[in-house]
Amino acid sequence: MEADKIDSAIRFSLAMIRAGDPSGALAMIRGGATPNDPIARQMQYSKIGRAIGEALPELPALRVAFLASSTIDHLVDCLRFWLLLEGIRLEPYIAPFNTWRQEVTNPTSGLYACRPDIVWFFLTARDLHFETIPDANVVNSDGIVSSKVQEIVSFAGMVMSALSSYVVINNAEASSNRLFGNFEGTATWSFTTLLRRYNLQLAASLPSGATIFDLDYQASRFGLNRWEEPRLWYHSKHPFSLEAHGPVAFSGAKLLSAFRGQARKCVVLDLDNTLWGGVVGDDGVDGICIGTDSGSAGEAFADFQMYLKKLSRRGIALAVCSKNDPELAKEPFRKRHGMVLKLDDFAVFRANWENKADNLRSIAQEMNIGLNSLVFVDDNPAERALVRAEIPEIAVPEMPLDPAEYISTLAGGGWFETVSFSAEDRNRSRTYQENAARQAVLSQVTDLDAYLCDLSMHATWGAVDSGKLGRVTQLVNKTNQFHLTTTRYSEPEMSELMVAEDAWCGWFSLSDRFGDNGVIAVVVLRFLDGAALVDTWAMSCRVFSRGMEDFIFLKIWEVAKAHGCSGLVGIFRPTPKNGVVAALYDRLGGHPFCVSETEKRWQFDLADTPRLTHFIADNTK
Amino acid sequence: METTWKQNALNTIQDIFRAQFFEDSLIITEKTTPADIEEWDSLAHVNILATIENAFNVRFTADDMANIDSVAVLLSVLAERGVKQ
Repeated sequence: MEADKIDSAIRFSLAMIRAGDPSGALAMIRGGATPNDPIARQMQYSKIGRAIGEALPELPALRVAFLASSTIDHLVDCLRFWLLLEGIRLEPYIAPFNTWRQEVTNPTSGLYACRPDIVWFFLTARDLHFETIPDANVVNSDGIVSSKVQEIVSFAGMVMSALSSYVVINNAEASSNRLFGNFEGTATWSFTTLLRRYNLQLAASLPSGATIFDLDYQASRFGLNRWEEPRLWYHSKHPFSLEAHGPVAFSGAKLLSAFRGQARKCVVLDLDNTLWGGVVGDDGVDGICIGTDSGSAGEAFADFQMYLKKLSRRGIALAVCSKNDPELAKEPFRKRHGMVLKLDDFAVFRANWENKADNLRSIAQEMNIGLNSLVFVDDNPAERALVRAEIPEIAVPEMPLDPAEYISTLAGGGWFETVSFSAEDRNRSRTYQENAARQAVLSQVTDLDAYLCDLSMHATWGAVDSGKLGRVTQLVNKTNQFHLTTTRYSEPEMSELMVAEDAWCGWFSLSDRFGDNGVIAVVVLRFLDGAALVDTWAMSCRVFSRGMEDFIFLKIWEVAKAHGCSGLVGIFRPTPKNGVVAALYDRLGGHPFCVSETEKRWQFDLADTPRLTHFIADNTK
Repeated sequence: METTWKQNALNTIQDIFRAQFFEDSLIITEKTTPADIEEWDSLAHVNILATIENAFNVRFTADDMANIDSVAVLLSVLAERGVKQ
C-alpha cells in the first residue's frame, strides 16, 4: 500500500480510538498493515496496537514470558500488534536483560510470579558460545553440541515442571562471518556445522509441550546481509536489524495464535484463473491453461494445484466456490490432462451463479467449521473485496497477477501454523468430506417429499416368467435385510411356484431420473381358504425408504382381490439381519395376531383399501 | 544557504518526530533535547534515528547513535555526513 494510504489508515485509526471506537480502529489498520512495512511504520502500528488493546479488555489475553540476552522490547511491541490482528491481547513479561538463567533457577523470580501461558526462550546464536576446535574429532564435537542442547533442554524442563506453560525455544541463526569461509560447510567441527547440528539435535530433544521457533529460517528468508546489524548490537543490544522485527513479529504471532488453536482449517478456491488459466465456460475444457503442455503459466497453475494437494494431505481441507455451470466446472477434473487436483480432493464443491458470500457461509456450515477457519483464494479483486466486506472473519489474501507467485502468497500468509502433528490431523480432510456428505443427506431429509417427487420414479411389475426367473431367484436367496420371511428357493422351486394354481410370483423394477435400478423386489403369494398369504417379500436395500414398499403392497392387494380372496396375511420371521422390516406390516395397517418367538402374523381385510401414498408412477403396459 | 539547509532539515526532522510521537503540533528546534519530550526514551531514540537514516539517505555509526543526544548534535552529524538538501 502506498505511503499516503497507510498514513490515512493510521490517522483514521487514531481518530477512531479517540472517538471511542477501538474495534473500528482495528478494522481500519488491519486493512493497511503488512509485515514487511518499514520499522517506522511497525512502531506506529505498535502504538496503535497498545491503545486498541487497552480499549478492548474483553479480548482473550495471552500471557507470554520472554527470556532473552538481547534487547527485545521493540520486538515484543511489534508482536503485540500482530497478535492483536489475530484477536489476542498480549500480556508480556520481559525478564530483566540477560538474566534468563537466574530467572529460571530462582523459584521466586518474576517469571514464575507472572504465571505465563507461554514461556519463550528468545535465544540467538550469540548464546551458544561454541568453542570451535579445528580438526576436532567426532566425539569432541558431539560433546560440544550435546552439552549445549542438554543445558537448554534442562532449563526448559525446569520451567515446565514448575508451570503448566507451553515453551517456545528459538533455534540458532547462521552467521555471515565464516572463519573458514566456504570450508565451514564441509568441516564437521566448524562453527557453522556445529550450529546446524545443534539446531537438529535441539529439535529432536524437545520435551512434549515445547516447540522450536525457527530463527534460522527467519534470518535466511529475510537475508543475512540485511538481518545482521552489528552497530545495533553494540549500541543497544538488539539481536538483529530493526527492519527484521516486523516479519519476525508476524511469524511469532501466527505461532502463538496456533497455540490457541486459531490456525485456519480450510482453503476455499475459485476455479477460473485461480486453479487454471482461462475461463472454462468460454475456452472449453481443452482451451484452459493447465499443465506443462500449456507453457509456463500452465506449469505454474499445476504447481499451485500440487501445493494445494499437499496441504490437503497434511489435513487442511479444500473446497471450491466458483461462479460457473455446475457440470462444466467439474469437467476439467474429470477429463483434462495436466490437472493435479481431483474432484474427491474437495470436501465441498460449489459451482453456481449465486453470490460467493452466501456460498462461503453455507460451505462453512456444511463442513461444520467456523467462518474464521476459512481462507478464500480468488484471482478476481471484485470478489475478494466483496467477501472481505461481507464476511470479515474470512482471510482473503491479496493475490498477485502472476500465477507463478500464487504458492508463495498462500504459504506466506502463515494461516496454517501448527505446534504438533498426528494421524488425526492427516485424516482431517477425509473427516470434513464425510461430514459434508452427511450434512447434505440430512438437509435432504427435511424435505423428503419434495426429494422423492423430484426423483420422478416409475415402476414396472408383473408375474414372474422364464425371463425374470434368474433374477428373482437371486433376490430370494441373497437378500437378508428386507426379507420378511427369509425363504430360500432354488430355481426349480421358483419355477414350480411360477406356474402353480394356488400361488402367485411377482417381480418389481424401479427407475428414476438418475437411472434404472432393474428388478429390485420379488413377492410370492400363496392362496389358501379365501386368504392370500405373503409367503415371500424380498427387496433390494438399494431402494429402501423411497415408497416402493407402499407401491408393492398396493399391488399385492390388487392381485389378492383379483384372485377372489377376502383376507390377506402378512408374516414376519425375525433374524439377526432383518430388523429393518419388523414393524412394516404395522405401518401398512395390519392387525397383529398369532405371535410366537419365531413368527408374527398380521391380518388385513381386503375390503378396506389401505390409505397409503407414494410418488411412484406405474409404467406397466 | 546554510540557514535554508538547516531549516529544511529541521522541517523534515520535525515531521519525523511528529509521526513518532503522534503529535501533529509538536515543535522541534535546534535546542530540543530528550528532556523536552517525555516519550523520547532509548527505544524511541533508536527508532527516530532509523527513520532519519531513511529520510536523509545516511547511515549513522554505532558511535553516532550514542553521541546524538540532542537535535543540535543530530544536525551537526548530518552536516558532517555531507547531507545537503
